[in-house]
Amino acid sequence: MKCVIIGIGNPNLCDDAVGIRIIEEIERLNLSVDTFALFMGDFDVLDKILGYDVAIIVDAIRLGNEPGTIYEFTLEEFSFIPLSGTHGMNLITTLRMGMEVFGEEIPKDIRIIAVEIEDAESFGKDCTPKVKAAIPKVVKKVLEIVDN
Amino acid sequence: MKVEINPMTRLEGHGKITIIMDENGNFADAYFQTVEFRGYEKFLAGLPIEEVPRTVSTICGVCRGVHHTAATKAGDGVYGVEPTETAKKIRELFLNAHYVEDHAVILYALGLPDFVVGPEADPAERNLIGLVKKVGVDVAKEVLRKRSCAVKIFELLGGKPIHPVAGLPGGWSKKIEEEERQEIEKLAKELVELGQITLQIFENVILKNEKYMELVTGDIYRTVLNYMGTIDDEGRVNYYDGVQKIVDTNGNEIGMFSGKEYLEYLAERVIPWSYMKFPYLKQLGWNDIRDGEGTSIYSVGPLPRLNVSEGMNTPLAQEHYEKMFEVLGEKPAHYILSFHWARAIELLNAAERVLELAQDESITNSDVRAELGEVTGEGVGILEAPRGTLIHHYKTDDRGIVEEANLIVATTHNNAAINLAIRNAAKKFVKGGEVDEKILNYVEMAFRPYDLCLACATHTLPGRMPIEIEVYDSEGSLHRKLRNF
Repeated sequence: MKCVIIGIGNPNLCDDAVGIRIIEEIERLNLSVDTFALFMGDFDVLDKILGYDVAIIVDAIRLGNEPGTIYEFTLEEFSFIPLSGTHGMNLITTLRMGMEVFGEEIPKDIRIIAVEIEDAESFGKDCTPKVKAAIPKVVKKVLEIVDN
Repeated sequence: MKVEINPMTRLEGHGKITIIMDENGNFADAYFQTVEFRGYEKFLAGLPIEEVPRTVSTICGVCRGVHHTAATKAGDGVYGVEPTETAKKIRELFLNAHYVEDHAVILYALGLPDFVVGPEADPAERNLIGLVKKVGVDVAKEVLRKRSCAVKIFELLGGKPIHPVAGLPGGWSKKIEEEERQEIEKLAKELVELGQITLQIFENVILKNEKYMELVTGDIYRTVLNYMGTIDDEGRVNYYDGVQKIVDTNGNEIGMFSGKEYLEYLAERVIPWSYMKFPYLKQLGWNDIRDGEGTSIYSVGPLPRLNVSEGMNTPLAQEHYEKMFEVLGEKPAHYILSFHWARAIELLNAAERVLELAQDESITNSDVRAELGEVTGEGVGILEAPRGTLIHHYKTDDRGIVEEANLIVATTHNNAAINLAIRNAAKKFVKGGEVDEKILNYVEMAFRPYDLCLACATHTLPGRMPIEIEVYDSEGSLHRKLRNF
């Protein structure tokens, strides 16, 4: 099974970078798994996941719950988010469109792991404490998926 | 009752449109508000100028390459160095590849769905997936695959996937090997085909549709302004280098400038209801947010670039340039839906330019960096971002450490133009108190050509550019509120 792990975020913006920080932690483990850090959930995500069996996408989210809360979604479970209109791209629209266009080439198993964040506006390389504390937990979760 | 228009108290990358109706439910006024682009400027203070290109490439996930290149050009100025010819060619190649991938996203994800799926279609269909259904899976696959060829070139030259790091004062950090040049040449041919496919879709869907052409060339989406863009020494559109030219509403030249001279031409006005300032042309003086002859408001972006130029610097794009102005019947063209047409022409132009540069074997020369000079303490990097003219201006100490940064991005240049476009469209569509999704989409179609980039450095899920539209009646009561987040 070919697996790819993607972290999304702005490396210079506090909690927005949580997906990037998680990828950095995973890369330190020198696993035989492909990893990518991306800025946005647009077409670039498709370029990186085509041809893999499993894709794990790690991103920041704001649902109004306790910062540091970890969510795991399949693409279907993200149906509460409407498809974007003609305003802009988003990860979910991109992935749904990818399935429509590329069919079999899109990973059959796509997991989205999201961390509830507190501050996506301040500049800084560090996440806020509660979000930072979630990073090793997400790394563990990702590794479990990879192992299985 | 008067409706108070204040900046939102917590505007986190939102755009907000407020429409006010008169006592008959007809349009009375409209305002577009968004955040000022200032956070990064403070963050950059204290960084060595050579670190700045790598940092500003994170300002925005979409515009990463243009900020990187503009800051790299500014770094040349701070170190008083002229880059080598090879380095200039590599930078131009990098920027043009970036144009292709960016223009493709904007056209296919934002601009075309309004036309291909239809401006009155259900919002659930009027999106990228709706567009895929209309053009067919095979065409969509072809478009996406060809666009990813541009990303491959961008990553190959940028030195790091997604996040470019290769720009340095005086040049570029890595040379292009011959096998890389051959690979880029192969990919570039795919990009030229992407440009041709895109213009063909534009022709089939819009130019051949009488109703859509009425929209494109009608008064609703016509905003008469001055224009600014960058041209080469033959007056043709150039994204990487050249001088900035400004023309008035009739196409007469107001002036040309380069580098720090921008301060002699552009001024900014503070308006109480807006976080973002309103740039205007200094020579004409501030005379309110209004269009028409004599206005001091100007606009930047794909159509303004073509408006100020004498043509394109590649043959296929030149043919389309001539056709566009012939069909529109005026130059400068003031029809803002034609931004999409100009964007498609530029996509082809950038693709052709990538191919030309890749076929120039001297681009593999080893002289990718010039010797640095003395620190001058100041540098200005100006280029054409896909969305419009981008200015990076830095002042440093005598070691090249940034003390002051001023970044003027396309959405700031276009702030007044966007307000005017929204007002003109709302004036036409908001009537008799009827405000539904379809009407508001026609209003949104007025700002989409400008491809707003609202603090998109933050992107958290769900990741859409949040836009809110509030419609008030003449008593100041909220009549309708729509948001996409």
